[in-house]
Amino acid sequence: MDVGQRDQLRLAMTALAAGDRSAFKPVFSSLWPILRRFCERALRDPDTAHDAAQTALTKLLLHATDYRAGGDVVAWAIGFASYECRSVRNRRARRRELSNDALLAALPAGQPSPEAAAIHEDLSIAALNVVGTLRPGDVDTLNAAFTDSRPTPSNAAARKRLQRALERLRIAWRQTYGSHD
Amino acid sequence: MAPMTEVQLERHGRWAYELGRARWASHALLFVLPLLLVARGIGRPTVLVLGVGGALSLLAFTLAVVHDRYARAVFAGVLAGLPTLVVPLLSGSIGIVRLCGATVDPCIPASFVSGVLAGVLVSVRASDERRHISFWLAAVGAAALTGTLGCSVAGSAGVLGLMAGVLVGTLPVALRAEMRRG
Repeated sequence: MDVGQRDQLRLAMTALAAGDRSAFKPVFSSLWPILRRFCERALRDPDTAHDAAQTALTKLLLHATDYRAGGDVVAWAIGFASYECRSVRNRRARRRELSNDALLAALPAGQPSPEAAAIHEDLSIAALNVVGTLRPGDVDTLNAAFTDSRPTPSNAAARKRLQRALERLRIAWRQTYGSHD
Repeated sequence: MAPMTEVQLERHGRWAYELGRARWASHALLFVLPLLLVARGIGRPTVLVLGVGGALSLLAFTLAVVHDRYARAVFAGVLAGLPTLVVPLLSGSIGIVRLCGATVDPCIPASFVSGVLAGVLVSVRASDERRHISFWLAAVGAAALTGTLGCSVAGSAGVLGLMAGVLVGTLPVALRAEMRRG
């Protein structure tokens, strides 16, 4: 989603929050694919992700009047989706705790423990949540630096872009999850 | 939540949105209901407070559900109508006045004056809004119902005095706003 689309979505959400029903369709059709993609990335199960995304969208619309004019709609919507994803993972974890005691005893040596795997999964989802709130340009820069197989560009401008993207990622992380200070 | 198609989800989302607006609009009642207690406290009849107050609560809630603009209009209208609640107190403390052999109920001119005040306040507020006519209508509705709680102490003459006052108060502000726009 580019800057122009984000601005249009912000205007539509502001109008919807004030009671303008004609803004419902643009808000719905812009946010639904974003939430579905986010939940699919976070939960890695299309059915559960679809369920979480529709719950998140319904809750967002229920609280549409709480939207503060001028705020980033995508980041606000991602907040609802990440809460739903966390709830789904917590429910899964509780089910595992109840039923997988035998599997835990049979865990082969050298494999990460269920706790370590859960912590790793939590951290991955938390990182994805924060990356989802960044600007598309920053997401592309981080993707290129850490996930693409292409060699990292070595020029100064690309390094500077990466440094800025990382700095914004740190700030977003602190704003979302706080810091240890 | 059971999986839904996009069309079903949109319909469900619209319901959720309307439910959210109704929840938000119910806050308007927090402002209107204490006013009804005040009206009862200054001796207005229970039937009147329940009837007019019920209509005012319904109007405030419905308009707040429709749009924020009308929630603001109701707020402005109720505030503009508040001075009319002094009219019953006036009736109790002064009573009927004799002027040149004729008897005059001071509540009727007091209703007219508070109507003028409400008309001016509501019109000034409406001229700041983009859709000023619908805003004015909603605000005058709320002001009239609030005013009726107080001005009805002088009977239908008091309510008519209030409405005449609202129109008289509105006219100069509306004309000035039109001239500025023209």
